[in-house]
Amino acid sequence: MKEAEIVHQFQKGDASAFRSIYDLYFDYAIRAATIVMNNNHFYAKDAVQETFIRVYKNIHLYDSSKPFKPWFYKILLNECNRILKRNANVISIGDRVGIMNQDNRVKDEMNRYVEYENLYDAIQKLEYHNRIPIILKYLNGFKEQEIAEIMNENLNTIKSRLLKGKQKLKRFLNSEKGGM
Amino acid sequence: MDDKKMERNLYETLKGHTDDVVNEKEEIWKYIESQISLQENNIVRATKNKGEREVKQREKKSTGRLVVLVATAAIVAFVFGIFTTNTGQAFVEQLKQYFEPKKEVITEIEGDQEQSEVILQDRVDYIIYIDEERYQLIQEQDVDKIVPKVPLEDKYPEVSMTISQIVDKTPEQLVNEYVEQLGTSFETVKEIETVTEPVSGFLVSAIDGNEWNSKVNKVYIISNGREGSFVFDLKYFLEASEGHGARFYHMLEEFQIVEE
Repeated sequence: MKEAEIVHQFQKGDASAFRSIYDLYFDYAIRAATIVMNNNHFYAKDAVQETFIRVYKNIHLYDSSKPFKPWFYKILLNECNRILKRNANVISIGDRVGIMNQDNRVKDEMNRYVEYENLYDAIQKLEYHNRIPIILKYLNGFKEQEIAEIMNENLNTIKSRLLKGKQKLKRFLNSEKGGM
Repeated sequence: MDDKKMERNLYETLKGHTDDVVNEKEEIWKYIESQISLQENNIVRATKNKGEREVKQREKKSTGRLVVLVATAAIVAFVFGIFTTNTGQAFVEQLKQYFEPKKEVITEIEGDQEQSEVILQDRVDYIIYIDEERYQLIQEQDVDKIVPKVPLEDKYPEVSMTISQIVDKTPEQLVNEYVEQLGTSFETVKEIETVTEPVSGFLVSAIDGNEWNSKVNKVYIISNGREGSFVFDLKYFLEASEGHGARFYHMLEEFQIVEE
């Protein structure tokens, strides 16, 4: 069944369709939330749980003439924001749970690992308003217009934040190289 | 690293660093299921922190957040018993703060975090928290209005958030009236949006140009839990979107309908 049909079934009251939505969205939702929450897995879980509960309770507010995915991610981002604000003093960038399990025996692999590691560190250093569009575009595959809708910003603002985000990433990466 | 290579690496990097977090899918699903089930079966009832007022939620779909918070009270022990994660703790902390006379909040304003103390505004039919160092709640005719404590100079357009209850019209009935009304005085009126944040209901947005002082009007319309509506009429200007606009938004996140 296609995504739109599943959502439609759920809107019509088929509770089992909710599990299908969960199956479709959980993976990338928890990944995105984890990065948004500076790798704090507990907060990411909290955000994802609350998001699905909100989707369940508010599905009557979803406008089926529009794509479901941006609506879902808007809720997810709001939940992340709320948890980040509530715990603003206790978020730790160093609270990592996802360390890549790479095979470091091969030199090329090692170089690639370091490259990804540096890039990931650089993403974490980005300010919130630059980091979120990068996550939504490159992890979740949203178009710029969709990101604008999710973040309640206009398209040009998002384009500018993406551009500046990438420029900052390059600067971070270059300074990392310089420091090696 | 060139631009194209970096863009290619972004996906691999973001995905690779989160591979370990997807393995709790079933545990999280069980938690969601239990919450939904318990909330649907609970009669929602809460007492204010000092037991002065009983707060009742008339319909599950009225505001949502109150339901989550209050139902959580009933399931906190359950949650702690089964899932000893930060989730339970976060809920308890939220619940403890519920209806506190004042509390500290951190709001993101123009990219910076702003810490402020907000004070409970206890009205007959709702509660809201405002930062009394910056704003005051005044009564104007039959409506409540939150305005800057220090009036703005004449060169600035109006900044205010009006809160009114219309007891005999549902949000569905009202929303088109606001679209028409704003259409007569604003250059652009956006399509009606259904929103779940900062409140669950309809949003009508209008803007009058692209200058720093262009007027912005956002009208949120939600059910009052019966046959009527609450209307939040936010007025500010473009340059104040991430200042006053953001603060009004955060005030609305704390809005709750109550009943004597």
